Amino acid sequence: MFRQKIARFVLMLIAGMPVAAQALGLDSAALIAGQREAMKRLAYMDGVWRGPAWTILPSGEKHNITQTERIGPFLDGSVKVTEGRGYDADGKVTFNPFGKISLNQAAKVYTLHSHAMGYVGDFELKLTSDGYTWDIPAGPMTIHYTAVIKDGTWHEVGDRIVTGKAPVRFFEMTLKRIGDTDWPAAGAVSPK
Amino acid sequence: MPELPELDQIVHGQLRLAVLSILSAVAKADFTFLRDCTGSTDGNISAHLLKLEQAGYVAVEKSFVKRKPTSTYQITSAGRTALANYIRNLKKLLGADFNRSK
Repeated sequence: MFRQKIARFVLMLIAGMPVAAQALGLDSAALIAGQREAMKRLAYMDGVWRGPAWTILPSGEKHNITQTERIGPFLDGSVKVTEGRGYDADGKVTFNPFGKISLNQAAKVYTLHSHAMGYVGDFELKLTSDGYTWDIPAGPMTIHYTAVIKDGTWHEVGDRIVTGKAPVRFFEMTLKRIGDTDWPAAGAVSPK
Repeated sequence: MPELPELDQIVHGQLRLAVLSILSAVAKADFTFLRDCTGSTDGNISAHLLKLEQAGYVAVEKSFVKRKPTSTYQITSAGRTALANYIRNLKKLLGADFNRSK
């Protein structure tokens, strides 16, 4: 009896979903199409990238790494997924960020959901003619990233900005596009 | 009178809140960097960093870089939780109008 009630409730939910979505003016196909169209503006990011990068450590020392990125569309092209790996000279991975870029259609903003070194956050990605900028607010300081991606080169810098002081550059990377990737869409589980 | 959410007094100090905000965004920061970012003085920020350290909200690592003593600070898990709770309680305290205006 209880199972029947649950089953009936689930059926009602499933049957009611499209109606509810239509009532709210939501159409999955249209939403995905809109998101896919918006993500085309970031198609230049897709592929595999590699190049030198440096960052300033808390001690003030400059730390050089080889940075790689693999980037590709996911969920039928409606979001973009990124994974970076920074290698020390001995080949050890010392920096491994992961990100998902998507469009918030209601707010008309691109959002980067980032995981890096145990830190998690959502940041607005502001598109420029040949790249993007994004900020991490940190109290009296802002961490400002600027990326320019063109002609197969991805140049990104990070600056620490404190009001009334000159910006301090603490990060720079210059990557070359070295090929295509079918990540992360490849390897989906088939029904059989 | 309705019960007001409590604000963690350790986090609530202007300079300590600034320090926690910075450390929530960077992996580590040294003493000089935190002092310069906040526009504070050696003595003032030392006192506030000690309070945060005693509360378990930041961890300090002392070392020598080029023969100079350096103190490097990092937010702890407790510090991160305290900052998140503080922001949540502050939003509650400011009320529905503030949350709607966002």
